[in-house]
Parts: sequence; C-alpha cells; structure tokens
Amino acid sequence: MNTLDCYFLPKNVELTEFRILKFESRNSSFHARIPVLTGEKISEVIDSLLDCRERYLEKAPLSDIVDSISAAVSLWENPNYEYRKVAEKFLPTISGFSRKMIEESLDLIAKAFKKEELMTLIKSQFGDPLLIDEFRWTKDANCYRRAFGPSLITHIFSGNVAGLPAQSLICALLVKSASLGKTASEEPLFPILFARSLFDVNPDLSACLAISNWKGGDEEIENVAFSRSEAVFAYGSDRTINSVSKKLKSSVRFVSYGHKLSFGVIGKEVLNDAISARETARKAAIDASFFDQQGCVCPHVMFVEIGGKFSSIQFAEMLSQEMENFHRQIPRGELPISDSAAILRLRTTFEFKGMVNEEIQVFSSTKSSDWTVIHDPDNVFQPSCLNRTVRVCPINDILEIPTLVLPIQENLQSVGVAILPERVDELGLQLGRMGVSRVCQLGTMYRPPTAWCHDGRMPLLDLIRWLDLERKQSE
Amino acid sequence: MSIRNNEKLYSMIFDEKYLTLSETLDREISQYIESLGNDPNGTQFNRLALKLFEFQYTYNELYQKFCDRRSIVPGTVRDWKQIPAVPTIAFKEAEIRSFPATEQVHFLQTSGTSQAKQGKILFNHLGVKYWKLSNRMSAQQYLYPSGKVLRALLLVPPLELAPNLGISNAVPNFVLRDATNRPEYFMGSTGLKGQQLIARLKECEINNDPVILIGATFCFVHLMDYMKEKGKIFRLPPGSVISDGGGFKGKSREIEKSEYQSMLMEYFGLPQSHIVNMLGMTEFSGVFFENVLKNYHERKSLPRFKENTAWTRTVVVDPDTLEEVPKGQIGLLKHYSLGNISTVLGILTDDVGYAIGNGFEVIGRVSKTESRGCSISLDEFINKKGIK
Repeated sequence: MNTLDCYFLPKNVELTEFRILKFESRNSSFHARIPVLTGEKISEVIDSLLDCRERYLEKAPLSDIVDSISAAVSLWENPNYEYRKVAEKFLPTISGFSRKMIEESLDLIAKAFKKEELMTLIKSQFGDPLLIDEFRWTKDANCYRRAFGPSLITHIFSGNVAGLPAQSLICALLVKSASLGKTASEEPLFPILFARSLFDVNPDLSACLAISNWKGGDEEIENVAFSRSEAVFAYGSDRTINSVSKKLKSSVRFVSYGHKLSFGVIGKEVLNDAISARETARKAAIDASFFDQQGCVCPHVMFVEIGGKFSSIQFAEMLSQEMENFHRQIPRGELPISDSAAILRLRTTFEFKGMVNEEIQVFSSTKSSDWTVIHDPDNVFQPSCLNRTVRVCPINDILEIPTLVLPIQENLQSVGVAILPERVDELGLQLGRMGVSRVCQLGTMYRPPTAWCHDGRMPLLDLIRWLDLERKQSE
Repeated sequence: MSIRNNEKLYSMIFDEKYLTLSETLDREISQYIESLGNDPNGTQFNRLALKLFEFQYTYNELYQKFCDRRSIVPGTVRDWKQIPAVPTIAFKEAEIRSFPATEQVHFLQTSGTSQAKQGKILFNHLGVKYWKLSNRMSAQQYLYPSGKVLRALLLVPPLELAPNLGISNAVPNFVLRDATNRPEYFMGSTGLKGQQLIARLKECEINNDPVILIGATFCFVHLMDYMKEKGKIFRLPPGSVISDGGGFKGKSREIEKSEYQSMLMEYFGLPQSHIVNMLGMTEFSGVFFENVLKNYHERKSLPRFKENTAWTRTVVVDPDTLEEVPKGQIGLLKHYSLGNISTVLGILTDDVGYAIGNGFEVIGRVSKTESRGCSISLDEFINKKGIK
C-alpha cells in the first residue's frame, strides 16, 4: 500500500475529511493522505499546542530538550529504523532524489542535530545556554537577563530538501516554542516522520508540534495561524515570502529564507600539480552534485583562476570525470520531462556556440542528462538549469568575482573556495560586502555546520525576546 | 560525450557535385511528395532520407560537426530513425543551412518569446520551393479531401506586412486556388479586422458560399470574444472549415482544447469534423494537420490526432536518453521531413506529446523549470529579472 497519513496533529482534534496528494515516478507512486483543515480546526490544534507547551516545554530544562532531540535523530542512524525505511522507500518518488541521495541526506540530518552540535549552536548564539532556562546575571548589562521564545511559531516549509524543516522545528524547540508547520506540497512526508521520531523519544515534547498541509495562501487557515503566532518562519520563493509577510501584524517576528544562489572559486595555486587539481575537481563535483543542485548551498558556477599549470578547460574536463564518479556512487534523481528538456536545450545551445568558439566546450554524461559541465569564457554569473549542470568560467583574478556576481547580488549565499588561506580574507571581505553569508572550503558547501548563520542570521536569536530584570546581583 | 579541440578541419566545397546532387534530390523528392508517397512499406522514404542525410552531412558544416560528435555519419546509418535530429534551439544560436551563404534568398524568424532569443531559418530557392510544396500538399490532403475549392478568409497578417513570419508564409499555401478564389486577409497592421470579417461571414452565410477560415489560434479567441460582444453567431454553409494553429502564445486567454473546440462549433455552426487544428514550425517545412476532415471524407471513424504525411515522420523520444519511447508514452516530439532540404531533415522539438496511429498528439510545450528545493533555476531567474 503506497498511501500514508501525512500529518502530525493532536489526537484530540477530530479529523473527518481527507484529500490525497499524488506523487508518481517512473517505477512507483505514493499517495499522501492529508486532512482537510479549516480555521476552526487550526484553532483547536493551536489550543492544544499552547496547552502542551505550558504544561511541559516552557518548564523543561534546555538540556532535556537537547537530549530528546539528540536521541530522536540518533534513531535515524539505524538503517532498520522504521521511519528511515519509510523515508528511503517513498522520498525518491516524492522528492525526485535518488534513493542513495536520500540515504546520504538522512545521514547528514542525523549527524547535524546530535547533542554536541546542538550545544555548539546554542552557545554560539547565546554564550550562556542557561539564559533560556532562568534569569542569569549579565555582568556587562548589570542586570539579570532571560530569553523568551515565542509561544507559537508557524512554519511555512517549501521545497524538497529535508534538512530545512528539521532545522526549523528544532530551532523552535530550542527556544521552547510550540510549532505549527505547513509542509510543502512537494514534500509532505519527512517533517511528519521527523515529528513521529520525536514522539518515540519524548511524547511531551512532540505534543508541542503540529504539522500538516494546506493550500498555501488559504485565507481562513492562515488568518487563524498567523494571528495566533508570535513568530512566522517562511521558506520559499520571493512570491511565497511576500504573500506571507503581507498577512502578518507588525508585532509578529517574521523570519524568511528566500531562494538563494551559490558558487565555487578555484585559485590558480591549486591547479599547479595534478594531484591537487584532481582533488579540487573531486570536491567541486561533490558540491555541484549533492542535492542535485536543488539546495541554496549548491554551486551553479565554478570560477577558475587562470595562470595555474592546468587550464580552466582541463579543469572542466577533470570536473566532468569527477561528476561521473560521483554519479556512479550517488546517482541523480529522475527528472520530469521539462527539466530534462532544459538540460538538452542548454547542452545544445553551448554545443552550437562551441562550434564557432573553441573556448566553449560541453562535457556531458553519455545517453543521459545525469551531469553536464560547460566551459564558458563568458564568465558573468548565470543560474544553472539545475540537476547537476555546472558552468566552469575562467577568470583572470579571484578579485574579479564580485563584479561577475553583481546580477545575483540579492540572492547570494554560499561560496566554496579552493584557494590559499592568505587569500581567503580579502576575497571574503569583498564577498561579505556584497551579501555573501558563508565562505567555506570547496567540497563542504553541501553540509553547512549546525551553528551556521543561515543567510547571515542567527536563527535562535532571531526568535528571542529578552527580559532585563534590573535588580541587584544576589549575594 | 566529450567535445575536444582536435576536431577535423571543416570546409564545405560547393562544387559541380553539389549542384548535381541537389538536382537529383530535388527531382526525386518532389516526385515523391507530389505522388503523396505511394510507398506502403516506407522503403522509398528511407532511401530518400538516407540520401538527403548524406547530402546535408556533406554540405552543412555545423550539422557535420554535430553528427561527427555523435559518431553517426552516412554509411553507418541504415534506418532514417538513426539520423541525428537537431534540437530547435540550435537555430537560435547558429545558421543551419545545407547550401552556400550566397544562395540565400529568404529567411523566417522563429517565434521567440520576449524571454528567448529569436532565431533565423534560412532558405535558398530550393528551400522556398519545398516550404511551399510541402505546405500545399499537406493542406490538400487534410483541408480539401473532397478537392472542392472553398472561399479562403485568413486570420493571419498578409506576407507584405509580415514577410518573415512563419504562419504568414505558410498559410497562403493552404488556399486551394481557382480562377475566382483569392484569399482575403482580415489581419492588418492594427490587428484583427473583426467588423469586416463578420460582415463577410454574414455574406457567405446568406449566399450559401462555403468558406475556410484559417488563422492563428489566439486570433480565433479574439474573434469569438468580439462576436460575443456584438451578439453574433453564424451557421456557416455546409462544407465550411476552420483550421487554426500556433496556440495562444500568451496573446489571448488560454482555453482548454475541448472547450475551445466547442466554442468554435457554437460560434460558427460547424461539426467537430470540420475543425482542424494544425501544428507548424518555422524550423520545419510542412505542417501537421489533424486527420478529422480527411477521416470524415473517407468515412473512417478514428480518433483525432495529427497525421504524418508520406514525406514526414514523427518519433517520440525520452528527453534523457533521446531514445524512442514505447508507443503511447509521453516524450519530446522529433520530426523528420524530406521537405527540409535546405536545413536539416530531422529536428527535435520542445513539444511534449505521444505517438498515435500514423501520427502523434501534442500535449503542450515543456514547462519552465523550477527549483524543487531552495535554489533558483535559470528559468525562474529570467522570469524574475527579464533577459539582459
């Protein structure tokens, strides 16, 4: 049976009507059963969430919350864990990633939210984790201080990269907020399975989460959800984010993550010997292949500085071999016709351009659209058509890059670099001025650390309200 | 596939041999088209396609490169299906012609939207001849199966207003002529001449003078909107035909195909069998008509689809592997025409469809790509920013 209930709602809320979201791939299908919700039902859900929060979450020590989350993600490490098996079985059909890619991303999630990582995340933002549990003397401010998270956060998830909803829900729990999550219609399953694994380890904690799907923009539901939330997290396109933000009272904290673009930078110094060049190509291939380029951290372009022993064309060829190697380990997912056709158009365009300009070269997988590397001397940043199609653009100097990425300035996010450490600061400074929020080692773009400043912000601090208690320090 | 620098040197020599070959091809192909094939096993088609492939490989430099890179060259191919087809987007990047530049006498502009580059399809005399011939021969079979001349009212701009527009170049060839029948145009520089057209239709209705209305799909939408506004509907004389093509192209509201058909039936009083949709492309010499009128005439009860004429073939391919998909399955449409003498005989389109009978049906164009995650695809970016 390929129908699963894709909602995680309080037991006491009676559900009467359901609808089915259908997913098809070449070899299998999946039906997500989703309750038809109304403003009234959402109100009942929220009553229950707030009640459970008051009874447990608000009072629970942060260390207990962290332990529960850590225990829940640990369950996912076991290949025989029931929900992991469900995810591995159905997510390829739902999300369009290959099974191997799904396995890899579940492993990443399991690693990212272990106790140690969560404590690093909290400490990097609060310094003192106990600020979430109690009044703490804050010397510099000469007062007691305590952090309060929103009572309720509504999350509007989008897209099919599983880590983001997990991170969003975890951040809410870490500041002791109840969460109402709307899954993306493209991926209604993983957030539900994640919440169920929290239920397995701590039902009091999971009782502060409610997740389901409704049609984005549903006035009745969203009026209730947004008016009762102290904060709203929204992921998605500019259109989604604008439409959510318009519906919020000014007192609501609005944390939005729009769609973003990333790229790689390869310095001439790493292209002077064959081993280092090959290793750089291998790392570039990982970043350009992971998540089939669907994630904001995935690079669209590799800027290659000329002047090393290996030319940018030679690098493109090495990259193409490494893309093939990666594909053999972790295949790309099946594509809808439109996406395959887009790759075909891109390849054809550059193939014909290349017939009159030998600097333009197309390297691509044989008899498939699995991966494409295009060497293109026109080095102004252009977004890729995704699904493992990457451009290699020669540059004279890495400091030319800020000008070349000007057209995408407002969407900049991660930059993976393979350059000598002493050159990183200068490039980083210039990129930071433009709006880049993360400069990391090439080959690690796909796995930002748990404590990263996602899109240049601190996700926990974004949610917090501070109370200053101005009284003398207790003896 | 890896494309390397050490390619052979390409140079096309248009010598005596070129002239002799193109004369032979011209003779054989025009004979084949004019006889409507008469080739039940398709052996003649295959022979001519392979011969044309060899000619185009020899005299079309870019196509030769294209084939060399795929290691598919004349002599290695026995079946027309193996002949490399060029994706239509290539026409926006390059001049794809199988004749010397000096022979060029005409060009058509591809219908690029505001978001895409326009391309040029180049013609020499032979190209123009086959464009006309294959359009005329297709129309004869599918719009005039009885051979009866119909008064032609055209909803396309006349050639003098749009000399390089595909549909304006094609449609005049869809008019069956006799001494008195001259096509009348109802599209001018200011758009659709609704009032004049309605008056003319009224006249034909009263005189019981059957008509054929041919035009762009979106023009019919505008016309029906106008008729609705004026409260006009017609019962066109029996035998009248409507033929439309080109889709809505964002120039009118979009209507479901079945609804659009019922509207035409209601507004013009025609039976379904006399409403013939067509698919034409600037990159392709020849047009694909629906089989409904032909079937009506031959008293055949068959589903509605677009038929291949004797000199064309359509294959539905998987966009990933470019292999043919099992019959009935959805994929990209790849068309071959012996009429494409002056360019390349095979083209791979962005149209999504499936094979049926001795033809195919189109479902639509491939849609724009969108990121399924939190990245941004090129299409989304262009939508947001416009094209530079």
